[in-house]
Amino acid sequence: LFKSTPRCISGHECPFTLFCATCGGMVVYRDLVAGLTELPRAEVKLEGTSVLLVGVSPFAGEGTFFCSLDTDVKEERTVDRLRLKQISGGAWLDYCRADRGLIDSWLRANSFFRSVHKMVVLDLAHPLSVLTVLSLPLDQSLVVVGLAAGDGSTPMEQNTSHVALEASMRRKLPIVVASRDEVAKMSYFLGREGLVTGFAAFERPLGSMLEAMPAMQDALYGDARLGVVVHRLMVLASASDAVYRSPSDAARALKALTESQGVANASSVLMIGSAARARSGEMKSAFDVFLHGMDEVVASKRVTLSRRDVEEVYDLMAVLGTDEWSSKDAARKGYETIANKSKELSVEGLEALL
Amino acid sequence: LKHSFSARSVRQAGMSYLGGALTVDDEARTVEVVRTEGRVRKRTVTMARLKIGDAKARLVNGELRLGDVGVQLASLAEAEEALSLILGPRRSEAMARIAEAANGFLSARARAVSALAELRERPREAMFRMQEGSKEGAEDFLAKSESNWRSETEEAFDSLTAETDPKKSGLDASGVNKVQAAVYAIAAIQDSLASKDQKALGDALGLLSEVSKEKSPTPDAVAGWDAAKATDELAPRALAKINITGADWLQ
Repeated sequence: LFKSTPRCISGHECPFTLFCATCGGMVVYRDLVAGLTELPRAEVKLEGTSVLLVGVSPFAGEGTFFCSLDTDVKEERTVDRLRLKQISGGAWLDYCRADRGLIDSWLRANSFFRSVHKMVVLDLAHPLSVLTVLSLPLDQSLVVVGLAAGDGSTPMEQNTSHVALEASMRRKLPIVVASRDEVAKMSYFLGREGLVTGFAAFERPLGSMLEAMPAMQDALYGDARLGVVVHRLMVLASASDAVYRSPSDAARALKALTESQGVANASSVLMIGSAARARSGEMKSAFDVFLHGMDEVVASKRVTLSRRDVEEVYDLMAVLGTDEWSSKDAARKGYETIANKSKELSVEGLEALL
Repeated sequence: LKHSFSARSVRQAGMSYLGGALTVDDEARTVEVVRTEGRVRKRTVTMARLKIGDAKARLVNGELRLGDVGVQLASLAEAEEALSLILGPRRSEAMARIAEAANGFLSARARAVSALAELRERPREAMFRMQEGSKEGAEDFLAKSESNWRSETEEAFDSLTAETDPKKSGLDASGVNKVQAAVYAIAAIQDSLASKDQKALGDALGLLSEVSKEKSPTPDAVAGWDAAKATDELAPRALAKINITGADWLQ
């Protein structure tokens, strides 16, 4: 504001006083006051990526906005948190019967959709997972990552997870699925912190997916056009030559792991590798090894990210498009147990909400 | 005919000293107020408006004597009203309106500047808070809010300009400039508090002190104020104490 210099009636530049020290004339403030009406333009610069977390903890992501959705005894609505009122003994259906517009209006109010890239990471076994899947728009800049219930989950969790996945498929909302059991067993070596396990270890693959968002969006929505909605996430984290001899051998191990999980007939593959920059050539060879012999793959993409913390360690991830997931869903057993007892808590119950 | 009324007669009528002289033109049935010292300021009003014909103020031996009108309250009120018509609004009333308009402008501007700064610094939180309860989309809401802040600031400025207009306020150029300097100084205090610019804050406080003839607080003493507080606390006080002399006011 004080960058403008006042002048007296004779035109002398003056300090901020009433009378000119040179001529004694009045220092004129008319134009300076008129200038006060010139306001700066509204500038809204948001983080390029927004992440919605449902039933999972936040993770590191530079320049990323994190917001979370959960239930609690008391409702709460802030820019980065929406807590819906807990329904005693409530299952996914009870939350779906609540106001579905709540999530959408909150995500609009906190400008979630204004970021260029959007990711939703949700625990599919969480009571709000079905409501979340039903509330999300079919937006090509949105990537949904779901943690599916497995053998270690309760029947109710398995029921919720299976229905959420079905909801995603029926809505044709692309989703990348990782198993909660596998995530629980995951370990990761971080340069600064050492070994981390469980969801803390899964944060790194999630971080890599955030870095590879444009490729993720392209792959997921390209597959959706071909009718492939569900993608299976396979991760070989913190691999090293001491264990696998080379990235190519690590890729063979990842492929064997993938086949053992019954995801052999993938129709699309997105490979994401993170390694020291000097090893990018080896990562490309590793991608070739993984894709070799996968004859049913109609689209493949490869992304190499630079990992800077530990030079000897590298990660390999495969996002595999498959429409066979539902029949092999480990949560199916628990789903049926609950669905047989309560018809409402079945895929048929979901139909009424779509 | 030239008539004058004395300070004593005006004081007897219960009014503060205004000074000046009246020229009553019986033929044209107009009354003209002329300051005999300093710069000329004339006001010509019709006798009818003065209600001279209704004997609320009377010519006695060629002089308009307000003190002779009587001491009845009703008559005094009428006489005061007649003087207001000649001499413009009373200083306190005009100054109160100017202070209100200046305060309105400073508050509107502070609101707009603070909202724009918050949008720049904490865009999500700002938009979330502003948009709560609104059904509009973010883009529409932002465009509408920005337009509102600008128009509210401009309207408040127009209102201040109208109130300080010499014809309405009775202020001379020096008086108007003092009000403008005070408004500018308070806006500068608001901005320098927000940007934590000690040098600018010192300059602004110095200017405000000169205008209001109040001892300038040190920048340290106001460091804890926020822009809104500066408007609420400083503006009315400083504007009320602007040193506009009687001569300034009348001329």
